Formats: sequence, structure tokens, C-alpha cells
Amino acid sequence: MRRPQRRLHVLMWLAVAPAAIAGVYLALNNAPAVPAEPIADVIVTDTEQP
Amino acid sequence: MGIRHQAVQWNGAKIVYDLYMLAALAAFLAVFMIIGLRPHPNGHQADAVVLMIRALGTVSFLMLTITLMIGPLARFSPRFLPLLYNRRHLGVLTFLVATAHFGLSLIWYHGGGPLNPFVSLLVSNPLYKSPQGFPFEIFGLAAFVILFLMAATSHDFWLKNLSASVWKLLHMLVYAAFGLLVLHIAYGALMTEKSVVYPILVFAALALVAGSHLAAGLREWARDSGMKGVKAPDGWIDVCAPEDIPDKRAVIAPLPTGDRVAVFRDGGKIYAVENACRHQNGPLGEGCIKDGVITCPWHGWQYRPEDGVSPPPYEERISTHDVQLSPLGRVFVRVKKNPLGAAGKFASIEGAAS
Repeated sequence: MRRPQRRLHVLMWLAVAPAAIAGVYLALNNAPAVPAEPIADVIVTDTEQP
Repeated sequence: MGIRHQAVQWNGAKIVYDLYMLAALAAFLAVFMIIGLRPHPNGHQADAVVLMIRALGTVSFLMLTITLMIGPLARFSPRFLPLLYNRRHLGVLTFLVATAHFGLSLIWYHGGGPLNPFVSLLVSNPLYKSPQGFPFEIFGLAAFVILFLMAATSHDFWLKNLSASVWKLLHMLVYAAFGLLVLHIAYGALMTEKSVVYPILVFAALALVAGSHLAAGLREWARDSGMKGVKAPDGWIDVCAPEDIPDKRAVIAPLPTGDRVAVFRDGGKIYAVENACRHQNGPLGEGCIKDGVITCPWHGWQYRPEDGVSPPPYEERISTHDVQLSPLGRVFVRVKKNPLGAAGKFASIEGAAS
């Protein structure tokens, strides 16, 4: 690669890596303590009301 | 080399490589589905379509991680150069698998309703200000658009027409796509998983890819910074002694202009050419002289050392630099490039076999 590309390559990773780490940290910090349970089989929504 | 129109550029080695890739992909999906479809101890069974969406997403992220690791690995060891040669096909296959993940998700979660599936994807979850319920699909969509642009312009036809610099700039967006996919997983799958294994795996992929790219990039940056001390008061730079250049190989030297020059030795002759290949700006000086021509280590593009022109029927050209030996036995290279296609002055080593 030429020098401008080599510089851009480093600068992009210096931006992408901290942003991704911060994003994952924020997501995990805000994740629900107990993940949502699957919808119970008895619940149905596609039948006609009586 | 060249830009003859051909939808996919295959040769025997690439076909074998592609078959290995397809076999590994099929094996991954099969194992993922077999394990995932086993009945759960509480009697619950996973939905096959949802499981396939997960499998395609997982394997495409894994493939992108491997694709992005190839570049820095090849910088650190030439043993990985064969993977670099085949990297484009792996990248395109990654895009195709990501397309399957995207398409199946769109149909399964957003198809069949009153809204257009694409509109539904954008408006069905309005929690854009919520750190907990943020629509993770948006990150995936943005990454997919980048991967689409890359796959669409992956052919050498676009490389030639956009120029190597613009093409490389466009394809560097894949780093942003990787970051977006990490966020897509973090705000999506990781929100509903109880096991700590998944966040650890995602962090490991991020650390490996970002760490290796930064390590390789910062090493090059340090080399570039060293160029500031290069002086060429009379237009020539002192590169090395002739015996410092291995036969059929090169020494790469910095120039005060910020470029680099590759100084090759072929028997008793020493030549100098610019260090950037015309194809993708690969480091020619890390290649070798094969059958009398300089061969790029990345994709095998070739140039004659005396005038920098590709052997017929190809027509690519790189610049040469003049070389001379000083009375003290040092190799000097002229900083100013010769015009494209012009033969450079080479130096002969007395007594060496040519």
C-alpha cells in the first residue's frame, strides 16, 4: 500500500475498535438481568375472538 | 493480470480452494443445525428457520473474521500469502452467506404483514433512544450495504476503472462493517443469551482482528516515520551494500518523498522499481524475481525489472529508478522516478554470476 493508505488503515482501526468495544460494553451493561422467556405455547394470537 | 471480462476469475488452485470453502461451510451449517435441533431437556424444540437464521449469521461473522485476519497475518509471515491470493473469493462467499441470513430474516420476521418488509425492518422497532431495546437490525443492515458495495465492485474490472487507490479506499469500509456487525450481535443475540461464552467469543474476534490490524499498521507507521531522517542532498540515497540483497529478492528502502523503492538483485545485476504493485498496491519488494520478472507476493502480477513493464500480453507498468554503485561499494538509488515504461539504469556487481 502507499503511505496515505497505510495511515488511513491505522486511523480507521483507531476509530472502529474503541467504538465497537464501547458499544459492546454499553449493550452488555444494559442487557436484562434475566433474558426474556420464550412465548408460552398456550398463547395464540391468530385465532378469531369468541 | 489484465481486465478481460470474466464474471469470476477461477483457475485450478482457486477451484480447489473454493471447494474446500464450500465443504467447510456446509459442514458448519449441518453441525449447527443437528446440535440446535436436538430436543431440549424441558421438551422445547428450536424452530428450524430461526435456527438457520442464527447459523447463517454466525458463520458469516466467522468468515468475515477469518477474511480480515488474512491481511495482517500475511504481513507478519509469508506463509499466509496463499490465503491472501484467494481472499477475494472468501470475501464474496461471506457476502453470499450474509445475504442468505439477511433475506431469510427479512422474510421470516417482516414478510407477510401489511408493510413492505424493508419498511417494516426500519419502523417495526422505534426504540432508537433505548440502550436496552435498540433495533439491532439497523447495524446489520448498514454492514450489509457495505458488504454489498464491496462484493459488487470486487472484480478487477472495477479495480481497473476506479483505480487501485479509490478501490482500496472503498474496500477499507469493511473495517467499519466489521464494527457494525459486532454491535449487531451485541444488541441482538447477546441480549437474550444467558451464557458468558458468547460475549467472550465476540470480544475475542474483535480483539484478534483489531489487534492484529493495529499491530501491523503501527509497525508500518513507525517505518514511515523513520523516513523523515532520510536525506538525499544530491538526489540519490544510500540503500545498502550489494551483498545485503539476497539473490532474486529485494531490499525495501524509504524515500524522502514518502514512497518506498524496492531494490532487487538478479544475479550480478541490481535494479530498482517503485514498491507498489499496479494491481492493489501490494508490496513488490516482498516478492521475488521468478522466471526473470518481478512477481508481486499478493496476486502474482509481474513486471520486467529493467523497464517495469509487464511481460506480453499484459501492458501494466510501474516506474523504475536509476541505480549506481559507489566507489566504496554501496548501492545508491536515484530518488526521482523514471517515466513509466522507461528503462532504468541498473548496476552490475563485478565478479557475481549474472
